[in-house]
Parts: sequence; C-alpha cells; structure tokens
Amino acid sequence: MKDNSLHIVSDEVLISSLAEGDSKAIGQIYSSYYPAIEKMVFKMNGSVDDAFDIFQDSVTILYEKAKANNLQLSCKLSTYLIAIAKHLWLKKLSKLKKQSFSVLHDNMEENIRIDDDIDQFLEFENNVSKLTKCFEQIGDPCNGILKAFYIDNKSMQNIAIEFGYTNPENAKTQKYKCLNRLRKMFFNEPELKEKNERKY
Amino acid sequence: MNENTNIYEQIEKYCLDLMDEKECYYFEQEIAKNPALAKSVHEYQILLHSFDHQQSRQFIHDSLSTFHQQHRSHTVVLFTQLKLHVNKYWRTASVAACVALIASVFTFITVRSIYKHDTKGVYETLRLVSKEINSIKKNQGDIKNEVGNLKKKSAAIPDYPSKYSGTGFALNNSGYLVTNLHVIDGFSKIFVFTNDNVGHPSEVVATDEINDLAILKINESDFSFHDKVPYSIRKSNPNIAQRIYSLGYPKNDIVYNEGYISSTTGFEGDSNRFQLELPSGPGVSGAPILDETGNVVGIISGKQSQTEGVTFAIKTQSLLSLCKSLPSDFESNGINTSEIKGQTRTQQVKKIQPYICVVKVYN
Repeated sequence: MKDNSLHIVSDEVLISSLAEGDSKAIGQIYSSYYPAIEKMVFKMNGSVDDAFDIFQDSVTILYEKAKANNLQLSCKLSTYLIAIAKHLWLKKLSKLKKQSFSVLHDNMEENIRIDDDIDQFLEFENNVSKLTKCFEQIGDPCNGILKAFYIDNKSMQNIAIEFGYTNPENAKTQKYKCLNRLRKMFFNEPELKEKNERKY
Repeated sequence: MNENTNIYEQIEKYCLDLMDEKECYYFEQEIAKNPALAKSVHEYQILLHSFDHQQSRQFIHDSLSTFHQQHRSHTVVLFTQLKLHVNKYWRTASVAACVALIASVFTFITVRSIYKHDTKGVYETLRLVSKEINSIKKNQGDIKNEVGNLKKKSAAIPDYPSKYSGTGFALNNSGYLVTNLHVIDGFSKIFVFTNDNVGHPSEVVATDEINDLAILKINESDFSFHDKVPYSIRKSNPNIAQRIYSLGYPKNDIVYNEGYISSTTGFEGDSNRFQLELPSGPGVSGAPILDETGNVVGIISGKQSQTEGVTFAIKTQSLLSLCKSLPSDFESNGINTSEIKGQTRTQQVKKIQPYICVVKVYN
C-alpha cells in the first residue's frame, strides 16, 4: 500500500468516522484499499465482481467491529483489510471448486487474529440469508412491519400510521406477534435450514 | 395474548439493554429458573443481531456501490474507447502512418539531392516541401476526425427514434440474447436495452431464416447480467391446453400476459411452431413463453391478423439447434436448470424480468 498521498487521515480517525457511518470515510476506504484488494483477487483467479463482493464483505466486518468499538488493530488498517479479504476469498474459492485451499499465514499476517472475526461474520451472513427467506415466507403485513421497525428504524407511531393501526399500542402488539412468528420460522423449520446455502 | 406481549416486550428490553439494574437482576433470576424463557431470550438475541447485521451490510454495500460505480464508469469508458479505436480503425491508422513515412523519406531524398546539385534553390524547394508536409498533416487530421466521428456514430445510441423494436431474452449471463430475425433483419445498428434502460450496442451472431430466429451478442467485453439466468429452456414439445405466460415490451415498460397453448402446430399446420391463446401486439416479437415451472417453452413470433388473441410461437428445438452453431465462447450456463421452479408466479416474474430486454434497431 502506498503510504504517501493516500493516507490523508490516520487509521484511528478513519475508523472512528467509519463507525459513525460517515460516507467520506467510506469513500476514502474505497479509494485507498480497493485497488490493492482487486489486484490480489485478480491474481487468485477472481473477477471484478468477485473482488468487489469480497471488498464489500471485508468493509462490513470492519464497520461492524468499529461500530461495536471492538477493533484493536495490532497492525496497519490496510494489512488488516487485505488479510480479511484474502481469507474470505480463499474460503469462497474452496467452496466454489469443492476443494480446500489451506490459508497460508505469511509473515505479514502472523500477528493478526482474524479467524474469529471471519467466523462470526459468516455466521451472521448465514443468519441474514435465513432471515431473508423467512421474510419471503412470512407475508404481509408482518414482513413490512418487522422491516420498518428493525431495519429501517421507523418509530411505532409512524408504523401505526403507515400500516393503518388505530394506535401505536396495537401496532406494537402486532409487531410482537410477527416477531414471534418469525422466530418460530427461523428456529424450527427444518426445510428452511436445508435450502439455506451460503456462498462461502 | 396481552400477557404474552408483555413477556416479549420484556425480552426485547433485556436484549437491547434497556432495563435498569433492578429489573435486570430480577429478569436474570427469572431466566435462570425458566429454561424455556432462557431459550426464547437466546433466540431473540440471535434475531436482533441478524437485524443489526443486515442493516450494517446493507449500508456498507450501498455506500461502496456508489463509489465503485463512479470509479468503474470512468475506467470502463476509457478502456472501451481505446479498445474500439484500436480494433476498428487500425487499418485507417496504418495507412495514414505509411503515407506520412513515405512522404518524409521522399522529402529527405529530395532535400539531399537538391542540396548536392543546386544550393541556391534549396530554400525555395524546402519551402515547397514544408508546404507539402503541412497539407499532408492537415489530411491526416481530417482522417483522424473522420475516424472519431465514425466511432461516435457506431457506439452511441442515435438520438432519432428507432425504426423498429422487439423483445429479446437472455440465453446466458455474458450477453447472448435471442429475438426474432424479422426484428433486426436488414439493420446494422442494433441496441439491446436492459431493464435499467441502458442501451448496449449489439451484433448478430447467428440467424435461422426458416424459424425467424436471431441470436444477438452484446458488444461489450465487460457486460454481464447480475446473476445466472433463472429460467431454463425446455427441450420437449409443448402440450396442448398447458397454461403459459409471457413477458414482453409492447410499450416502454414490460408487460405480463397469460394464456394457454391452443394447438401444437402453427399457421396452416406449421410443425416448427405452435399456437397460443394469448393477447399480443407489436413489440412483443421475440418474447419468451414460459410454463408454470419457469421453463421457456417458446418464442413469440407473430399473430393471426384476423383473429384477436391468437398468437404463434416458435418451438424451443429450433432455438437449441441454433445455439449449437454458436462460437465456443458461448456457454449455455444457466439454460439447463430452472432456478425458479416451485416459486409463486410473482416471484418468478420478478426474477425473470431483468433478463428480458428491448431490442431496438436504427437506420
């Protein structure tokens, strides 16, 4: 990674503005680190789309850790991101080719612990794709209400108006009913678990 | 239900860390006593984490995509321009270079011979020669301009209205589409408009005059659809009375229609085609006919002018045999397995829609 012009702000500042969801920080991360990761994925038989997918996932890991104030870097941010991207891509590759690639720990990565981060991320990804399937099956109005509350962060007041409930209290009762249905689908439906395949 | 709601509310409050110390303490004791409650709490936590994760990944994916697209559109435009230039105009460019080379060699020889024999006339001749070089320069500039104009004409979508438009649908992920031959026959400027309303210059790679089929390829090296083609192409003959539906572009927006197969032969017993009871109009030529499981069973080719609702379609065997004649870079990945089998019609249509395109031709 070139050190000069690209590092306009320090890693710490970049991470803390990323945690706040600052789009400038995301732009900076893209322009500073994406080219290197793209190059790496190209070298390892990937396409532009693969590279970008991997990059998105890597930055998501970074964002979630930054947001939870759980990121203690023992190395430079670029090293961390590249290590994450490399591991993710090798996992994806071994799944695609149905054979395993051993993840080589070269000197650069020796001191970085990322396996836990990646495992947690993959588990989350798995849950999200399961959730998406549940949302598809749960039907209206549950689908809309749950998404509005838990993903779009709308207030109960607004949800009551949008979905035609007489007061927020009624909407809230409906929301809990829906969440309970979702929970049952998510944890009890064996069929759903089988269908649920992940990319990695 | 009220009591239940209360419990859920408490669980959520606990999971989101909204309880005060005392409340939290009692609730934790409750959890320790009641394994069913503990299980619920655990499951809620997983769900809430999943919501959180979905939110974060959506946010990051969206923001990065914006930057990525800006960046990509820059480099792609530059790269394709360069490639187009080199590929299409190297002949013209090399002729121009040769002319310039011959002219300079000629000048050199003339100058030398004149210098040897007649020193007085040297300046006069030099003036003439430089004039000549200037005119050659100008000519070369003209050639360059013309080449530039040509390039613009062929790669950009004309601003005048198209001569004819039809529907086409994707055969694979890398830009191969099929449409009716009569849609594009005799036109050189063909553009495929994907459902994001972006026009892509395309060329004809295979045709079948008898069955009115043409296979197009989008002329962009980096073009691909978002994902694998979701439908497959059925190899067997269609059955009479089978219910079918189609998606086409009789207007600027995609239109859905459904009907049934009314005869397994076409106009006057044509065995390469079959007859449908399906409303159709100009512009849907080349649209796919799909069965309930999301297999393509035919391609719309025309209608009987007197009878309302009667439409004819081409059987898929003709299409499959035409595909065999394609160059080796055509991989029919995705047309063998239907990804949308067993889904509801609305879900199927949603998945299929991006792979149905408008084909427009220009004079």
